[in-house]
Amino acid sequence: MTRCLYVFVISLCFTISIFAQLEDRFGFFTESEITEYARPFGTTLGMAFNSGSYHTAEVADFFGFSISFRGMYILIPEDDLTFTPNLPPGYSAGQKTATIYGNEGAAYYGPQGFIVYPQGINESSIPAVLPQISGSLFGTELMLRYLPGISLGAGDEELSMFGIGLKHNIGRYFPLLPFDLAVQLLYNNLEITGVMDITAYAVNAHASKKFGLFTLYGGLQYEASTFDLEYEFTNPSNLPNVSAGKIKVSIDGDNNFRGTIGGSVKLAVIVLNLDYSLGAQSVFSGGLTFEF
Amino acid sequence: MKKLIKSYLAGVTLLTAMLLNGCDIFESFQFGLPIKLEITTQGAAPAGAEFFCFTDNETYQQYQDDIKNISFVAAYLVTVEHNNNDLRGDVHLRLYEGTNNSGKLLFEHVALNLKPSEHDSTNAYKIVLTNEQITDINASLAEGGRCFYGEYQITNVQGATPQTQLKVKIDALFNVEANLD
Repeated sequence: MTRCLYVFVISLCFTISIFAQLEDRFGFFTESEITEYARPFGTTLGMAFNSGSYHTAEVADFFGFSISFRGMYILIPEDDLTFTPNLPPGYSAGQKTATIYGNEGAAYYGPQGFIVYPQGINESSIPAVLPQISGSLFGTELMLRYLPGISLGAGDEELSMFGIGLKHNIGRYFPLLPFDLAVQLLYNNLEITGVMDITAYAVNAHASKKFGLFTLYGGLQYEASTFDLEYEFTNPSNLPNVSAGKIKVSIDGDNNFRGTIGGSVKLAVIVLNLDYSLGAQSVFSGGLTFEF
Repeated sequence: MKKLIKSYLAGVTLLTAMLLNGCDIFESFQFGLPIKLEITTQGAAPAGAEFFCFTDNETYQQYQDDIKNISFVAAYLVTVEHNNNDLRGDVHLRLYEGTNNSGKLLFEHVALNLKPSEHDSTNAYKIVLTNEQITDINASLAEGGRCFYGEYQITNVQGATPQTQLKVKIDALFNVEANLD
């Protein structure tokens, strides 16, 4: 497998074929079990959407505009690779099974026969890219991430994405502050009609200090994500008293707090930045911004 | 402004192209496929047989055009129903290729002096096969064998009567590797 040559573009990656393959895996799980398998995926999407929203706390006093591409590299912690399934009485879960990011799915034997779990995609890191545009006026910046509805092939599935961020430089009210200080609200949503709907929220406070062309920045953020999933349960273990069929479930990501530290360099209208965030999952984020 | 919007859309298009042409995240998918085979016997010399075909299994049907490999993992013998607690004897399990016992014998496993009533679903009997027997099953699967015929027989029977009824189940687990487009 030519692994990791792909670019996992969050806003675009859910092509029909990828979704069909994820659905293959989801189809092994009952409603009560899918949460632990898929939660790390929801957390990753939350980490991605809530990343790369700033590279400075400075906001133009009058008018500013920028277009940027944010690249992220999300590290999946060991704990997110496996989980202990909740098995019926008479079974022993001595061995953990893979989450969506893990490797081998386990099989357990007990009074109802074999209960099997699928393998994961065997990845411990996920890259992502998000394009975004921002405009600012009088110390307030509006950031947009948008993708119009795209048909995903033969089915009815359509992918669409919308993200918005509102940031205000509150440092402008404290002229004696030796650095810039801003607060920001973020909302992002990605939907595949009839398959999944991911919503991520965040609020942060961040500060930055300029040293010539270089800017040092950092921030603290509270964030949350919800991952609504629809899939077809196929009951491959032939569990009694459970029917195959459509399942709808809402999964909360593990996202909560994160701290970010990074630096940026501005060369004319081009800004390059790199930062590291420590949260439910760790994220290295870099950006190329054309700032006017 | 128009230039910037065009740049944004160009970027999105580029990323889309990279994704659609460059993603090979999931090339294959491995999963466990449980198969159940129930055999019913009646009388003082308990013996019965049944066959199964993978093609009758819904999960198998879902992937059958994309399967790269199937291999045997494990099997258990369970007594599902019985009306004779005293029944005991040497249990013979045979597996043949195909839908009757004219196919190639893949293995014969003998469990000496087994008491079926002691091996219900809470205490299944593990069918431990030799490496050679597992190799034979996997070779048959690799050659396209999808139907198998199982025989259950008790010899050196003790405690059986003409009214003895017995229903056993073989739970087998196979590992399937399927190509994904």
